[in-house]
Amino acid sequence: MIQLKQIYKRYQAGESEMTVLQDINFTVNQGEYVAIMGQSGSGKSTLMNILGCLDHPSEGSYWIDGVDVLSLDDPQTAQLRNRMIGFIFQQFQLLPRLTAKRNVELPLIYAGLPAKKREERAIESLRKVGLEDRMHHLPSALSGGQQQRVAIARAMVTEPTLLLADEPTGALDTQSGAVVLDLFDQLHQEGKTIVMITHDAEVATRAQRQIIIRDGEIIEEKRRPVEGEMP
Amino acid sequence: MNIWESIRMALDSIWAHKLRSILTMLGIVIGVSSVIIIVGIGQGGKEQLTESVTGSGNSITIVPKFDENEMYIPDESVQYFTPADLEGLKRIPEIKEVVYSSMQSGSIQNKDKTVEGAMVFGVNSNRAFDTYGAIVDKGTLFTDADYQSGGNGIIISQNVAEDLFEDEEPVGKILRVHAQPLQVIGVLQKPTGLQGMFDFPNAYIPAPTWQNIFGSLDVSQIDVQVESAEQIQVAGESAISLLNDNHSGQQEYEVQNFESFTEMISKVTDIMTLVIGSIGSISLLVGGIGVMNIMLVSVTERTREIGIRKSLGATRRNILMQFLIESVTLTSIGGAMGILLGAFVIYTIRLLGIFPASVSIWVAIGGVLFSMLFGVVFGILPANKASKLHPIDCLRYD
Ligand SMILES: Nc1ncnc2c1ncn2[C@@H]1O[C@H](COP(=O)(O)OP(=O)(O)O)[C@@H](O)[C@H]1O
Ligand SMILES: [Mg+2]
Repeated sequence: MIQLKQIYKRYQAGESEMTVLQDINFTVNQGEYVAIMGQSGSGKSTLMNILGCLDHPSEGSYWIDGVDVLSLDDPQTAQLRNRMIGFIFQQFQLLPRLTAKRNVELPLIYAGLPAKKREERAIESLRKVGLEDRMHHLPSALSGGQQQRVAIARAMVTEPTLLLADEPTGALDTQSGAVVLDLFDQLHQEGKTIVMITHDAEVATRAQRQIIIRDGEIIEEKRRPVEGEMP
Repeated sequence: MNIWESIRMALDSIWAHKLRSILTMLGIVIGVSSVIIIVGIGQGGKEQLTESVTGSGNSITIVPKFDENEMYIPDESVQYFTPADLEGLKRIPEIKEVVYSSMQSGSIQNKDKTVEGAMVFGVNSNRAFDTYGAIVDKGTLFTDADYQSGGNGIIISQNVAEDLFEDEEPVGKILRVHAQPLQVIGVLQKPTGLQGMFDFPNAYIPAPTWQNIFGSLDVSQIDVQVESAEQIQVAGESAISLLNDNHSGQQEYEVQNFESFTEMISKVTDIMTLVIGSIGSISLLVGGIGVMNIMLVSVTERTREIGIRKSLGATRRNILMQFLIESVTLTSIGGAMGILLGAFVIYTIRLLGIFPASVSIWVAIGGVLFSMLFGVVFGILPANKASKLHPIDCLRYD
């Protein structure tokens, strides 16, 4: 489903150049659940933004379902983000002046759906995360865990196949974090492909596969032992 | 993405910053309303001018010619229009009727109440009322018999009626002009427009009656009626040459022209247009720059929002349109408010009888379209800036 080849990302830092990502190569298959781990500043978010087509690498190539996404123009990239990718951020990134329902409707507005359809699908998506009864609340009237669930409802409302999550539990207490992770498990079971960033080893064990980054390089890949098999 | 969705978003965001939006609109409101006011005054003035020039129908006014810079003060000892002149004019084939009037100030009295210095006109035809723009509100005009044999009716202006009769019904009452008893047969409407500004007490009586009261008929102005407008030129020339012949060496005559009057009015309106027009365009410009400024601030403030929207599938064009529609909505609302304010001022001016200003629907439509254009012109820069922002820079923005 996802294929990255020799991805480099460099930033200009004054006179010198700083390499944030170095020779990143990996593939994620359809339906896989992958965790990316690493210390703060190791380049995880930078990688995630490239995966989500929010940023361009300085070098390298990137395919989603065989499409060379780096060659797409702005409307095509926007459509890709809209239909193929669902984003979850550490800081939820809900629009503060819109109710939960209006927030969830946003991707559908850009998908060009008529108002009635939008509303139905937004409510359905909120039901799946168990927040149907909070749809008229503003984000400020919801707890962190609830806000993140609204964000998940919003990410999944266009039924994308790929879910990208950048430290989704990073701003949550353990209990609400667990609810979010349970939702991820459920989405994984439904066949979604999930890539999740975390620096919490325990959270990472939820995934089938762990990719560990240090200083912008992949240093290790681990696969979770299949039930019954010895490590 | 549809336009209504964008307008809804725009209204949401304008509503979310009510005070700021209102302050932003203020420049546009003042600009548009001043434009509406100047255009309204200009239009009203023009209407009135054309009315006073053409409103007299197929008639021309002939007056003694005076030196250009001399005030129009008729010399009491000179008889400008003699009975022979009037007879001669009537014989010119293009002339259908000669309407003349004599005027002197006099006192009008009802029992213990007196109006001093009223202008008393002696007229020879009901057409005189048309030339003076006087309309009978209550009662009737004079009959032919009144004009021939000197009837004892009088038509008084509204302010005379108020002064002499207060709440009583004036029509039918007897009053005295220089001791001569006359019966009120009609009361004039209160004049509007420019004439309303000089609302002197006045009264009209048939010419023979006037002669009885004031002595010799002393005509200072005559109006000549012709059959059709094309004959005005010929009739005017014949009349002037006849009068010049009759008074050769002593007095010359001319057709009263409105050019100098028109010039004066247009000078005044030109100055007004210049003053209000500069205020209008400066405040429109300042308002436009204000809109641009606020939109730029708004883009910066909403950087995160832009990033979120982009991550959810908004194209650059979507973002551009969102901000452009927001600025157009802002200026359109400002423009509409400006039109309402302008119309309010215009109607107040009208209602107070200061000036017959008017607002046309086309000016209002033009005002709204113009404000929309302003929204586009001053919104394009901020909107373009917003659309070019990179999503990750936005999401990292705090
Ligand atoms: N726009 C940028 N300009 C310069 N340096 C950047 C920029 N974005 C990220 N970096 C740097 O790249 C490195 C990796 O950042 P990031 O991907 O956010 O790390 P992580 O998410 O793993 O904590 C950091 O050292 C950060 O300072
Ligand atoms: Mg990070």
